[in-house]
Amino acid sequence: MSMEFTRREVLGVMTGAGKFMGQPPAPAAPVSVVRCRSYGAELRPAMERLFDQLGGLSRLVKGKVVAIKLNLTGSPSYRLGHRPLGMAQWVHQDVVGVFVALLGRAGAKRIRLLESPWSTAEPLEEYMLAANWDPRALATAAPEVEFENTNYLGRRKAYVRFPVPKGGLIYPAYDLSPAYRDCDVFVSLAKLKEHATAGVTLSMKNCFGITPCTIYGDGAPEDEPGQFPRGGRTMLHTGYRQPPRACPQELDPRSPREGGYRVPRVVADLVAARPIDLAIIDGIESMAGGEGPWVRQTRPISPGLLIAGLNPVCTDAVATALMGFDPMAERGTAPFERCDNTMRLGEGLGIGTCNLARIEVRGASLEEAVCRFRA
Amino acid sequence: MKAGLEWIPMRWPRSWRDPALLDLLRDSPVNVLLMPPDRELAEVRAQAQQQGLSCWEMSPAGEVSGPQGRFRIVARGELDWKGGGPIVAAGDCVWPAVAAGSGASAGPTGVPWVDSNGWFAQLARTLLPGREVWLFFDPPAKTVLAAESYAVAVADAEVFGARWAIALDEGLQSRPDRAGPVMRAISAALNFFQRHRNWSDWPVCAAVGVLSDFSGEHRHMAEEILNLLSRRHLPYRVLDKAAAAAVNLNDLKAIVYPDPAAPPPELEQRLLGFVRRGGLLVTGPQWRARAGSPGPPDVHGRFQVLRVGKGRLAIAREAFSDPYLVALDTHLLLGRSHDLLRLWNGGSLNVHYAMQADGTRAVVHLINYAARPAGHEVTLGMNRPVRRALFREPAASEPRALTILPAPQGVELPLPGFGAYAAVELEV
Repeated sequence: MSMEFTRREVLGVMTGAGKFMGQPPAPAAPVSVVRCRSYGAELRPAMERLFDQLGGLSRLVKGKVVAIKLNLTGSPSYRLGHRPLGMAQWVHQDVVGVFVALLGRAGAKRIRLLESPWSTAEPLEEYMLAANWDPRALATAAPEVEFENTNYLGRRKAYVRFPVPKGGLIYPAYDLSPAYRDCDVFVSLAKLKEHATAGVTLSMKNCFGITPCTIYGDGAPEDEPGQFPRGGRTMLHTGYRQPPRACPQELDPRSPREGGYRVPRVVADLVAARPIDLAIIDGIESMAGGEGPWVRQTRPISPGLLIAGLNPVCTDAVATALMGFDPMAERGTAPFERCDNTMRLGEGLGIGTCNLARIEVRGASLEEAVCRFRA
Repeated sequence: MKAGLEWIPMRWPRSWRDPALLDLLRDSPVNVLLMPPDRELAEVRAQAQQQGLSCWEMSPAGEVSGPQGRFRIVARGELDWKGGGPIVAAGDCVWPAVAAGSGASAGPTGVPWVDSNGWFAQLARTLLPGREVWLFFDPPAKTVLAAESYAVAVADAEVFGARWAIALDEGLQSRPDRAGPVMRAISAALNFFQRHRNWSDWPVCAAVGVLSDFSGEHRHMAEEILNLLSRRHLPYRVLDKAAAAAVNLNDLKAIVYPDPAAPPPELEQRLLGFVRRGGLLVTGPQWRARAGSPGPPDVHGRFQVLRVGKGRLAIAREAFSDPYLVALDTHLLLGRSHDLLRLWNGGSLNVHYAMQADGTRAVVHLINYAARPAGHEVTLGMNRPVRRALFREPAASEPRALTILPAPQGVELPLPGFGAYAAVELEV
């Protein structure tokens, strides 16, 4: 099966093509890998080591406003068997808590925890409570911690337009919560998982959830963004309708109407439009076979890994390799059997390289840390 | 047998004319047969009486005559909350199940719609205390039902202290030779609830009370709020407006008052007292007393929230029109930190939580309207310490001790897989 790339994407993705086309190759950045078997006492030193291997957090966050997009996918009422959500489809609460504490120690001025939970305008703290998290523990882990549901405007006045550099693959720009603009450092705090539609869901795919359902939700009005989110993001998956007319419309409504084509491109667009400054992937405990218990034949898996990097494509490439997959794989090859490769699309947009030969891995080596999601 | 209180009725199929079929009731606590006035059932009637069963006549029009005298089956929406005999016979009840086409296995967040009579049974027991509540509903037509579906039907009544007037589907009526598994499932469920009949007398454990007269044009609104609070797994207590002066409000965190008429002054003062002590009152724009300081805005802006004393008064800006939103807003205004219990992978379940009056023992009933084990096991979260937890099912002779795991908000109890119904008995 061939990948369904446009001519422009193919030109951008071709290794070395940039030299001949006058474009620099996509940047490479080191990726830190730390082994950590549990969310117990070993977690904090492991996370300290994770960031130390990148040069430390202080130089990145001191005196800065840090916004963290959490991966809290799906309803908090779903579990993989009896496993708490943080042991399967959600980033673990203790990873969030330790990270917030480390940010506070590193001098972050303000820390905002962000997520656009599915089809609800309820406060993020309430959403966490429903999963049996303790949001108070997060709120007190550092000074000035805030929570914000970015699925709607809330108390903010207007959405902010984020143009996609180079014009975009699906949409030329995305209208998002101002919370994604009003920060100095943007962090994607993701989970190490496969994904039924996108092959893998890591720091890049986590940003699919920065889109507000008031605009990109099934119940969004025709003309203007809705007041409250209604429905999921089928619009982004299948393109069965357009966002409200006041928002950027699709570049090519005749492009394929299937999730395997659209979702990776929307994700690459979003990461290009709202760059990730720090990508963190919780792979201590996770699930294999899909992104949530609603995917059939999913199962628990214990990779015992923490991964972080300053470039999301590089970080996801290393994470994909640690899952036992080729991060350069084309459509039709695991884990991208029915979709295009988000990382290669990101590379085409100049975000970063997914070529492992160009990425320095610091800490545990790929060979010693690999945890094959498909045995 | 105490009059009224121990009748367990079954509607005997007109086509079951063979007295030998009474053997299907051998291990069953069913003791009343509601039979059509049909001469061809004379032999069955005689044999049943010899076996100690009481045979009552039930006409096609819903008139029932028995030792208690005559009573009539009345559509539940038309039931008069005043007067009547010892048996309240409510018709037009629903077959309890996950509603067809409701997307039980839908995407990441799909929660199925569930048809249940539980809210009605709880309402009827509160507004008609001391009376037996019988629910009349039939299996869906042209549907082959598993035995577990019948166990759900029994549980959906018994858990809430009501009785289902058992009725069999068309297939079993015409092929009684296939009725064995269904009758065994029904008997097992009935015997289980007979063994634990004290549970139905335990007070409901709830954070939310719904105060209404449950009559007039707003009856549907008030009743649907009950139904939809159930779907949010938010246990509630029915508060009878007519008896509100005597109702204990102290253990409640929130009260919903949906009636369009302002409450009488005495009741208004009582509710304001509840708010001043720290409670939340959710009500409509008819509310008169608005003294208070501005409180935290609600998420959707549908309410004016006032701080009054230690509590909050949430007054809707527009008259209640959608019970789904009232249930949702109540939950959001109250906050999930007041959830008494929580379920994971329990989308097809409703719960009922009751506690012994001395507060030492409790039971959480779990009715699974899908009538088959969930794809992923269910976990029950309780917001309080639990010393011991036992898992009981009708088909199991002995309970199973549950593992109690500490959690940020109390404890979690991983549950074994179960079909129609299970109970978690707690020592707290």
